[in-house]
Amino acid sequence: MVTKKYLTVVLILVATGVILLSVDWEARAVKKQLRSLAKEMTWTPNENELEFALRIRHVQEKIAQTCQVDIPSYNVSQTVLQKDIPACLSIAGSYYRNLSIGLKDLKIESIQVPRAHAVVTAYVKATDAYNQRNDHALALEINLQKIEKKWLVTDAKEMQVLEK
Amino acid sequence: MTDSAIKSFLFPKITKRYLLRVSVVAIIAFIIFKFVFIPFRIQGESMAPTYFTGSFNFCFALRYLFSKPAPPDVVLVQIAGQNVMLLKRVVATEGQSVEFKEGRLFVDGKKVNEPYVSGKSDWNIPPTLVKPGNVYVVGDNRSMQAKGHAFGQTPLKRIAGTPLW
Repeated sequence: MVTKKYLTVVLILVATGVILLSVDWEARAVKKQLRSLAKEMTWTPNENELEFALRIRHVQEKIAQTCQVDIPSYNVSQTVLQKDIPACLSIAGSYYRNLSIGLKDLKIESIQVPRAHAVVTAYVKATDAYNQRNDHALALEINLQKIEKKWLVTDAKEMQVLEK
Repeated sequence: MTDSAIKSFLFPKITKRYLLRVSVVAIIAFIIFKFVFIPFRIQGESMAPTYFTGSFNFCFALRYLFSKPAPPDVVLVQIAGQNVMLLKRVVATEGQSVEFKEGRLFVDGKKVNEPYVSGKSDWNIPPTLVKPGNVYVVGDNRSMQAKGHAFGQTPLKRIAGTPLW
């Protein structure tokens, strides 16, 4: 009876160990960081200044010192410095009253610490100051770098699904 | 049907045989709805009036197992996976030239009759040659501004299937 109990405990411990070892914790951290960034890039007109300031800080924490952003669907192609993020978000906030980004099919294509490469469908719903909708489903390639135990976005590029 | 038969149908005895049957049905349903008939809901008006936003359908993923998409097939184009896809119509295949003049579609210089398109269009797109291994897709709603409409050529590997109806 006692042997059976020990065997069960050992089996549970081995199974837990196998599960813990088989999980790619770095990939999970990358996915979590990107989902959190998408959540921070979602806003409504009712947001107050304090919430907006917090958002800016949270976005800054997820972006590298320099980040190359190329998203032709939204006419964005520039190198964004971490210190310029407040200005960029203020411009975006005044241009788009509503913005939401949903990430679907998030896949980590390669991960070799300290670098990771992810591919995702970003479903962007945006309403500008004139109430015009500008929604797009974009295929994004995102590169991240692990700096001081945090995965930071170093570049985000829109992949061309339909070539005009 | 007797009361006991209804009762045993609604509240079956959990036997080994019953659990096995449930597992088999669940696995088959998973395979069918994950790889053969992928359910999807349409968002957006780019395929109006053929398909409207909010309608439900299934993507038949095996449609192009032994053939290639050809005009005027409606296809689903993968973006980064199968959770969000674009619903478009194939208007040309590799090697063909596609052009829009005052909203009218010309393939290889010949005007194409498109009964599925309604509404006025002012699209003017210069001729584009469809590259090998690609198809040219466009939505049926040409009354939208060309700038806000996703269309163009895409590799065949991005075609996930065709809507079931």
